[in-house]
Amino acid sequence: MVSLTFDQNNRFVVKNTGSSALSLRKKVLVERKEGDSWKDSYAEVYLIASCAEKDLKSPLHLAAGQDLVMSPWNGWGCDGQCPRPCRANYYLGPGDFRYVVFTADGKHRFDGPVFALGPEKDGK
Amino acid sequence: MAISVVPGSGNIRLTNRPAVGAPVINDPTADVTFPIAQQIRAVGSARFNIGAADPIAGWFLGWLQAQWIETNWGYYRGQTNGDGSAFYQRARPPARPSQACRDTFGPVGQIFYGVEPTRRAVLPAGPSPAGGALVSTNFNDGPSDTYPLSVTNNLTHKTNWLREVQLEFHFCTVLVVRDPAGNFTQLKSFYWNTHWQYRFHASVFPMTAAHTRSEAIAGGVAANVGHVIEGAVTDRRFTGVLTSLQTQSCNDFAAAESANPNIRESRVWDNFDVRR
Repeated sequence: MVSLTFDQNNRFVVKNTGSSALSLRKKVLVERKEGDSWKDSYAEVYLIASCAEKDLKSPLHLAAGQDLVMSPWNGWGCDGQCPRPCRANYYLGPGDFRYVVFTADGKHRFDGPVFALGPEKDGK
Repeated sequence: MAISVVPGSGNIRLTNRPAVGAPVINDPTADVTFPIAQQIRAVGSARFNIGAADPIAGWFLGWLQAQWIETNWGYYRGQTNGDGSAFYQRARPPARPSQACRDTFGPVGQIFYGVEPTRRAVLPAGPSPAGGALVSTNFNDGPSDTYPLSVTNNLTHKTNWLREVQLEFHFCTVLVVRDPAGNFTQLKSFYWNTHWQYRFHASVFPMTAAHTRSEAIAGGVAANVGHVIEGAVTDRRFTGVLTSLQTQSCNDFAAAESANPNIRESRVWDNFDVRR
């Protein structure tokens, strides 16, 4: 009932493909592939359309057929999606990752497609 | 033979000095970011004596980090004197219950600063060559913070605009070995810090990036790294948070103090004691 895809602009899209409304946790679990297993990367990523959305706790409600294009994440662990107070903060790549979203009650999880983060770019 | 660290083999090499960046006014999100311009980077290493039959599971070479000083305040004032002013203090109780915290990317209970394989190395299987097996691990960090561009003064009910911010984050980073029993041996450490202090001058209100000049306050913008120190940390200001049971990491502290700062307000452009 949830479709997780990357569109042609490489933006992560969460769509309610069911016939009734759906509530999802805004906090996204970002997993990194280590060997044969997936590990929590602890990245701060949320199901928000833009960083102007400050409420990260209330569930995301999607009507049937509605989707959310998630504000992009650049791979940095703490402030990679939106500016935030960070003390420990670093780029989590390179490697294979996936976004995992949960229903608001935590009972169901949906694993997104695998995507790759490349080497850290020069800059900071 | 039991696994052991070759005495004196611990080494920390700084590979990139930190530098702070100028503040960035984000119009869409109405906030100001205080970014890192250059991360601090270091490589830690040590040699290990490992016998052919020694189990290596549960041995790690990695990093601990404590933050032991936080200065963090924002001063807001209205467009006119009668609009008032406000002081947002994040680094004092109750906003920040204590200065020292354990800095982990991830849950504070992981104790290590980072647990990715590049930041927490495992040991190779034995037997180690003469002189010990060389194991290396990487460290990097890019702290930052953010302040809202404006707040509402509850005394005047007017918008108060960000006028000045001072941030000082002081850290101690420690190269450590952990054995399968969970015992940590601190090999070497170094202190480093990042400072931002800027005043904002808006020529047009509402304040936007295009019409606001950021002024670096003399002596308030810096990033420093100290020399490498041998052996275990003895600084009582934060040794207590390095490996003991903690409930919040420094990132948790930072998020909480940002969400619930200590606020003082005035009906005029007032001076506030930034130490309180």
